[in-house]
Amino acid sequence: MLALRRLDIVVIFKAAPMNKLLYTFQKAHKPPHITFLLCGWLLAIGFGVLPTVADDPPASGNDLVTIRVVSDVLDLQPGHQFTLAVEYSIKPGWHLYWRNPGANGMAPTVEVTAPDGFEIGELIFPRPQIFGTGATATYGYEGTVLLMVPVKCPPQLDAVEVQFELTLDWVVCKVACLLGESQQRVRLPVSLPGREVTPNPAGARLITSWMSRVPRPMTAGARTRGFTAEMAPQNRLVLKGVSGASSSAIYIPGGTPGVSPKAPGPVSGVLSNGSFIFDIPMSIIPEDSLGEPLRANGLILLGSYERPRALEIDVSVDSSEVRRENSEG
Amino acid sequence: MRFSTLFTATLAMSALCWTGTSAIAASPAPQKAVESTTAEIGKPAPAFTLMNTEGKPVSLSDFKGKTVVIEWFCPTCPFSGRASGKSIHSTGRVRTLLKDMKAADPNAVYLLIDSSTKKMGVSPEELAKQDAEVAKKLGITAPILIDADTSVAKAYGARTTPHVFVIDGKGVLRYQGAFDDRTAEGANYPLNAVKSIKAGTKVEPTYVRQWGCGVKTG
Repeated sequence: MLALRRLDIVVIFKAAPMNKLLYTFQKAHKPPHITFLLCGWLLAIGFGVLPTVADDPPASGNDLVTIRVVSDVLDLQPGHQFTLAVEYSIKPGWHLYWRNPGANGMAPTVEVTAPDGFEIGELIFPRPQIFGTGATATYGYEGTVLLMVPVKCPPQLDAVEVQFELTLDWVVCKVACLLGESQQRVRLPVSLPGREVTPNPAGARLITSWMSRVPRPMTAGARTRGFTAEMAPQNRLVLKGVSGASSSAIYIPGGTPGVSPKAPGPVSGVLSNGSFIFDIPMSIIPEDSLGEPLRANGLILLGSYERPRALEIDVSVDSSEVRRENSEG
Repeated sequence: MRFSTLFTATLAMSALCWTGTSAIAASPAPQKAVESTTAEIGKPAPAFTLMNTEGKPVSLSDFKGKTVVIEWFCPTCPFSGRASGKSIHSTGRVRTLLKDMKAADPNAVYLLIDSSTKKMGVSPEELAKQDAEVAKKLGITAPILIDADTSVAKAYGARTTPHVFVIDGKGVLRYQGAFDDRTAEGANYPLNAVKSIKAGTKVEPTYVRQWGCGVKTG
């Protein structure tokens, strides 16, 4: 029971309280000339020659982001898959970044260390927001965001309890940027053989809610539900599909090395009769791929951030074809 | 009577201070010139003349015939001039690069450009002062040039601190983007470019997505 409580909501640290200075004038003791002095003072502040009362600047990204770790289960069973998630509550005005931060910034990292035999999946990012426009646009999250890590238990679990270590690292920005880091520990008991895994209802609800904001994969060349994604001649990425009631369709690049839209930043698609189409001229430089396969990758954002619908694009690019196009172009 | 005198005096002082502030803000910015070109791999890099932190002009053309590495810098960015576990300066990654760069090409030049006036809301003079203090604290030996109106950042398309550009001896841009892959023993892209230029081979990669704090030019 103690272990269950520990896991249910692990509050790691809280943001330091903001120091707010308030000046109060008590009418009973206010001398008559105070109004004149106050006017002069306010005028001086208006001219920018006297310091205004301000909050202390945050010292680090830990002052701006509150972290808690949740899981969708309260105990473990051999071979069972569950989700560990990190909730970031961000101070108003500041933001964290998506896996491709865009023109600047850096994606948060979550490194999970587990005993041998556990399979740790890739960090899952929900649909991001777009900050700014054009070449200087960045992608990320304001307010609250949940990043999720799938974990698969080994087929054999001999321990009574398993400890997971989470190393978190983030950059939080407004105009300036600050770094944050945190080390978390989560302990989960191993349930008795033959028993069902005990769900964590609060954690599961939260994770399910954020999972619904994760873009759905749309594989290259697939024509599922009327969606297509393919590389066309002259290094063009062509994306077609159903937009439904969405009033906009925006493509944001995934940031794969060597492949990016020729005009950096988000690209708006054309909407017509409930469908969207993108025809995006891409800059494809095989020499810049850092040895990775060339892929045109990114998201199509439909709907709004509050009522999100997003598709994950991942189209492989034939490098020999690209070299031919580049030499002809 | 006493109160109105006090009020008048306060107003007068406010007006005086305001005039003083305007005078500071209107002081002449460091001299510079930027050609109306943009930075593009394989094309001539935009020319510039900027003041360093000691008030002396430095031009890209001063280094004709030499490979020039330019790093965009900000004294308060934790990836750049603010001491942190991720700062390329305070973690010694720039020092290592300079040592390796000297071994690869003794004539190669390393410059820092600071375009933070708008971001930090400070005058070029104040920025130069802050940069000089940070340079002393972190042991930065490369010249820091002040891009007072951010026009050089605009011309180069500098997005982050650090955002790095490598220009060959003919003034052609050969690499732009990330400083490194952020791993301890990982790739340092500008060093890779300097070595390739020295060896007369193709620079690969020519671009890796930059990371770090944003550069504010608008």
